[in-house]
Amino acid sequence: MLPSFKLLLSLLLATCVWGEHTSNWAVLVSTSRFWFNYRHLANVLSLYRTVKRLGIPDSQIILMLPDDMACNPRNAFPGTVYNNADRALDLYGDNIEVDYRGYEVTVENFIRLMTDRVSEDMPRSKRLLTDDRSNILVYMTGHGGNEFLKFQDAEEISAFDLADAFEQMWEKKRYHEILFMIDTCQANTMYSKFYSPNILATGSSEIDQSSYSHHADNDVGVAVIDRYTYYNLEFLETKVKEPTSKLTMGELFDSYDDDLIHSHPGIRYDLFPGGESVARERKIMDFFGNVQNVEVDSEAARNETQWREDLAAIERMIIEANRRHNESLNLSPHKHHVVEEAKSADTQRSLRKEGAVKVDEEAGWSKQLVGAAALLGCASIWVAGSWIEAL
Amino acid sequence: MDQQKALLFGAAAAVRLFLFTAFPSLPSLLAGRVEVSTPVTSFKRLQEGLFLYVHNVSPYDGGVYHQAPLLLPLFSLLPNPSHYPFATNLLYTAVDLLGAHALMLVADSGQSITTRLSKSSRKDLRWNSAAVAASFLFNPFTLAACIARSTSALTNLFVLLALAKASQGASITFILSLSIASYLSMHPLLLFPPLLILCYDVRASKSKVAPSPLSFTIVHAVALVVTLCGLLYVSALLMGSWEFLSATYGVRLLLPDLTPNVGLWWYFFTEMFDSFREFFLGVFWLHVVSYMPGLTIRLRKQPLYVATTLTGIFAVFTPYPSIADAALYLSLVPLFRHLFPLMRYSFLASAVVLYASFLGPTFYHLWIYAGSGNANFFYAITLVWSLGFSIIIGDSLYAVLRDELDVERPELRGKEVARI
Amino acid sequence: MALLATLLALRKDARILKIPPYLSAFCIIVGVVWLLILPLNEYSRNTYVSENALLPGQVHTYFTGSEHNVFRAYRQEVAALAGSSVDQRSKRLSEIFQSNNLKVATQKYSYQASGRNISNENVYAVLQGPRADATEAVVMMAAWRNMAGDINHSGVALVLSLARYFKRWSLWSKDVIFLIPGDSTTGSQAWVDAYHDSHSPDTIEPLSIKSGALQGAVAVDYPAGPWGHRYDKLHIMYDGVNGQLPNLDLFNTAVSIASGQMGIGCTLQRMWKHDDSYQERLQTMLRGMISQGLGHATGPHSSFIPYHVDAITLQTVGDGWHDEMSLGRTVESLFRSLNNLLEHLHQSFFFYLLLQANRFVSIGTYLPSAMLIAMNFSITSIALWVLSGRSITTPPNPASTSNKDKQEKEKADVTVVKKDSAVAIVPTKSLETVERRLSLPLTFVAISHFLGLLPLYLFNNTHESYLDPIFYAILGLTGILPFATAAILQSFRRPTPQESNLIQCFSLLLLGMFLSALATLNFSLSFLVGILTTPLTFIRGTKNKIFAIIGSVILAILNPVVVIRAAVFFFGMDLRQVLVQAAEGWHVWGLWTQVVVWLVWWPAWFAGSVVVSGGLFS
Repeated sequence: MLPSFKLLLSLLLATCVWGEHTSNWAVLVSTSRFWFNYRHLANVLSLYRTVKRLGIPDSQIILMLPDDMACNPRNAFPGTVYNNADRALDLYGDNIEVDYRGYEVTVENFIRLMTDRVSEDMPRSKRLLTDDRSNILVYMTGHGGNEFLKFQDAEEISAFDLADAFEQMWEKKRYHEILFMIDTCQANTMYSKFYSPNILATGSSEIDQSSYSHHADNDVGVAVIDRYTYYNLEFLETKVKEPTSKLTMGELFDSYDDDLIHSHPGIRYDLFPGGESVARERKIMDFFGNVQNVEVDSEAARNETQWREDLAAIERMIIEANRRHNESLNLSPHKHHVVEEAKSADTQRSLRKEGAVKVDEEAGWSKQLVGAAALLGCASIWVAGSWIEAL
Repeated sequence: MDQQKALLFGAAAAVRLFLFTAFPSLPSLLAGRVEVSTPVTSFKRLQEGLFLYVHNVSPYDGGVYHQAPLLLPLFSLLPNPSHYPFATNLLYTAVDLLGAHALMLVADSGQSITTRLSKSSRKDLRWNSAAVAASFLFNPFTLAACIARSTSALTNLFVLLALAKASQGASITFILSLSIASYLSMHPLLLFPPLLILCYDVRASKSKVAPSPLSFTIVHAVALVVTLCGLLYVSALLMGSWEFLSATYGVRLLLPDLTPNVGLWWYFFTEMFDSFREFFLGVFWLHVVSYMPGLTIRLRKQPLYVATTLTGIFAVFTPYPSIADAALYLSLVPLFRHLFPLMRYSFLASAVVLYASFLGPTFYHLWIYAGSGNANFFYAITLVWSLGFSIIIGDSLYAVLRDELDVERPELRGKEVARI
Repeated sequence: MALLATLLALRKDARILKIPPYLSAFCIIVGVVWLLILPLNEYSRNTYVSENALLPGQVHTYFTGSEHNVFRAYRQEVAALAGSSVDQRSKRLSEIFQSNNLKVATQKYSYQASGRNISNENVYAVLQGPRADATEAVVMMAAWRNMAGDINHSGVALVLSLARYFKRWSLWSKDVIFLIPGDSTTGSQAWVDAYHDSHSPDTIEPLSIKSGALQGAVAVDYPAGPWGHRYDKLHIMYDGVNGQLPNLDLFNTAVSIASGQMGIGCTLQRMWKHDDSYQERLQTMLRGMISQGLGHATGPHSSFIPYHVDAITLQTVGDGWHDEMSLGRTVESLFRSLNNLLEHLHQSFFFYLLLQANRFVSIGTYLPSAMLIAMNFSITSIALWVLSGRSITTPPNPASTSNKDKQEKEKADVTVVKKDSAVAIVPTKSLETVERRLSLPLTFVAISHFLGLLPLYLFNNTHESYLDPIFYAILGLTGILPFATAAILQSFRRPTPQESNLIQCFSLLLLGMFLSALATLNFSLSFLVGILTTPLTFIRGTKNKIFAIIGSVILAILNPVVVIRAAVFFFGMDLRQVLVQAAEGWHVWGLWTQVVVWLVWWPAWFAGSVVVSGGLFS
């Protein structure tokens, strides 16, 4: 009785322990295409560089770029994307993995990515394989408005849809904490409808406020970075230099200066457990970096016999599986042949394709004869009819 | 009388042949205009279908040709219009002249004014048949449809023939012409009830013993069905299968081709959500069909008037109308000269139609060529065009009802009357 | 129903016919005043670039330094070609393009108009964007001879230098076509017609090299000779054939780049000094309207606009300190902006009136003025229709006591009319609608519209030496024709007053309809013709000889032919030149101003004159 009671207690304690995150993911989305939206791609690529620098591997970053600025014919510096007029850092470079490109960046694909409601043949690199201990940085940029964000000039995602997607993620235990950053016009409206816990949200401008670009490069010919992202990056580049940085989110938020950003960035703390004070204490590296904490089982839960028994059971399962596999290999080989033959017959049948219709030149007068016959037939019927009536 | 007719026909033929020969690019220019050619009547599509037919390919394979199959062997008798257009031009001129002849027969029968059961109070007000034929032959819309060589000229011919034969009581040729007209374009089928009544009236007034209405109806209905089935069967034999049904009548019923035209349907259906499409197609067709029973029952004493008004309804409310349909209606209206003093909005309606005829091509040019307008401008003008015709139809309905009232209550003639 | 009944009852009211003339006059006055208040700040707007993709003036331009030497060398080459034949010139220009590794082709063309043979040759080269997909192209042109007939030395040299310079850049997303037409009006028309395969193949050679769909065209007009000439401002010409205008974004981008980035002032409509006062704005607007109304080509760009290719011409004017390199940089920056485009310019206005390089009026604001003038004709037409339905003969006075009237009175019908509590005894005749006889008015109006075809044909197809005498012959003929027609009509088939009213009614109905349709296509032409035909609304056929004489005199002055002659005199032009240009316009550019004059304006005037002159002969 006592060991099982101890087991139950330990299990209860295990669930009550507030574990920290064990993995970091980033979802970086740009939603605009066309050359004059160069800066949105530069925004996203800058964040990509930053999270890679701070340790998140490509396998845990989902990068969505709707257009290809680097290879756009209008790019005076082909193969590059810059976020600064000094052109010191090429963001596109040679080490970049884009997961969703071009017309794959749609509202549907984005929501499927977040909720993991994808078909079986979706490759792993395009899935968000998070669990309930993953922290996710979600960064979105593009053209937006009051409670909507425009995707590729063709469709929109509303703040409600986004909130529902996050709620699905919460129900399916797909995240531990989310940092949601958005840099668009009227960005703060986009996170106003969230209702799932553990989300810390920040946006670049209030309702009825536009977000501005920072500066333009006069040789590329377009604006290269937006103000909000620029000042975020400035903080991250100058203050958060190593993965061991202990700077907090609160310090990042305090660095926002309305006069420099030319709009009022907003932060939403109320969904975070513990509110503003706890949220501000979270480290920047909790979201931007990939520092993993190791979770040690508590003493009470250590139960060696149970563990040994589990191991033995697994070993038995493996042996059984191996045996079955070897048996199936030794079974009647001609059964495979039958299967193969049937398959080849099928393929042959399916290979017989629909050919194009043959167009011949009409030799002879058959069509005209038919026409003359039809005409004569109709005319004769008509004449017969009129003659009968005349009687 | 004959000399007048010969002069008229000669002048009309001369004008048409002159336009065909002096301006050789005019036919293809007009055939390219959406107001004149629709997807179901275009001469260019006929040529496409003819090419495929002559080359042993099903003409409906291309998805371009939507006209009746029997037109193909008939037109294959003519030489290629791109190299030797004279025969085709002569054919269309002859079609117009035959239509005018049929119209004169209708006018001569006097059925528009005096029928078996009704007699207008102003029966001396009539134009002679040559004037009526002139209004058909020299109507700019008829001329445009003839020069563009649209196949609705053929439909108009057979509708006019059906009217002529019905107003003479010639049953067999009436059935034949109406079935050919329905075979070519679906909607003339709706003219069957009023024309049946007309035929019956004429027959009854000519013979001493009136035929029994029931047997008359049944015989004619059966004859119509048999003739139509015969035509369809011959077409199926020609084409080798029944697939042509979906490409010809299916197109009119289901509207897959949304090329702009002067009608009301195309714009509506470009914006239609798929789930509502069938419902609205049904509603629109029901709308067109619903005028026939109402008019036939109320004005059963004047069946020729009903048929005329129905052609006007067709010009406005069918899926692919063109100015040829409008031309048919406008040339039947002069048969009812006795109603003109009672019509109240004739100036307004003519001005509206005139304005729409000029603003329509202007806005089409701004939309398609200049790129500074859009479809809304063009559609708005086609709505105004339809409005003009609706005013004419409505006004003439008022006039015919007022005329009936004048016959019933002669003391009210010339007084203001209000419907309660 | 009650409303309809009241409206119908209103038709019978005798007073209603007093209103239309005032209504018409009101419409005309409001229409004219509307136009006059447009230059004010409340009704006009500052220009702005609507298309986000254009990003005007955001790139550094590098057409400086050694490119200047290249330019000077090319200018000397061009000067050396000044006296040579067309073939030699084309050959040398082709060589220059080929030396820059561009694909070159030439096109010969010839036009026949007024007995003159205009033949010349175009030279053009295609720069294929190295990373572009060749589905779109932009055109840079410099005509060999500009509109004034001078050789466009620096313009052609600039195009040659820029061709060499652009070839070195790899950032073109569309192909760039460098075109040197032989002539400012005919060459570009022949080229763009052949590009779109709508040329007549026997007189115009087809193009051997083509590129993608044209998205924009810029022409340069800089006639300064080999020693150069520093200019003061850029004169931007934007009028197209038949009054069609390019998208306002192109003009705004050019102005923004030139005056913003480069610091070169811009003018339009030959307003060399513009101090942004009301008079200057009004004058700019009116000049723009006249140019648009005449519908003539104002530069090589005009031929492109009917093909929905936005095009402008940059012409250097004045003496200042800007030189060819700043013009080159302006063109470079403009082409970098055009390069950014993803689709045809469609965001900004296609119909506008420019008051100044930075202020404009859009169609929604100015269209009502022409529509009001067209509407006044429709109002008068409706009034005349209603009038024609009334019986003109006065019924006998029921209350008279003279003997003769008494007999008529007994025969006259009276009706009792009750309205509210008033009772009136009215002769029935004045309440009835008289049946209208339409055949004469309809045929007359139809014939008068077709009569205009004759002078139209004559002016378009006569040899130029006969144009002057023919013009004066037609002047005399059209002057006498109304009187002659009225006299003949009176003797053979005297038109009743009703028929005269109906002739005027139909003629004004058609005029109103044509003018309102025309206002959507060419606002200025509709407005001008409308203004010049306004007296037709007020002049009616009368039996009073004095009024008839006054009316005939006024209308004789407003004869379209007389007006044209007076205008030619007023603007100090040569009549033969004007007629030759009109005929050339018809044959080369498809100008239809003369169609409007002869088939809309003149028939309306003719019908009105006949009706008024009828009063002299009755």
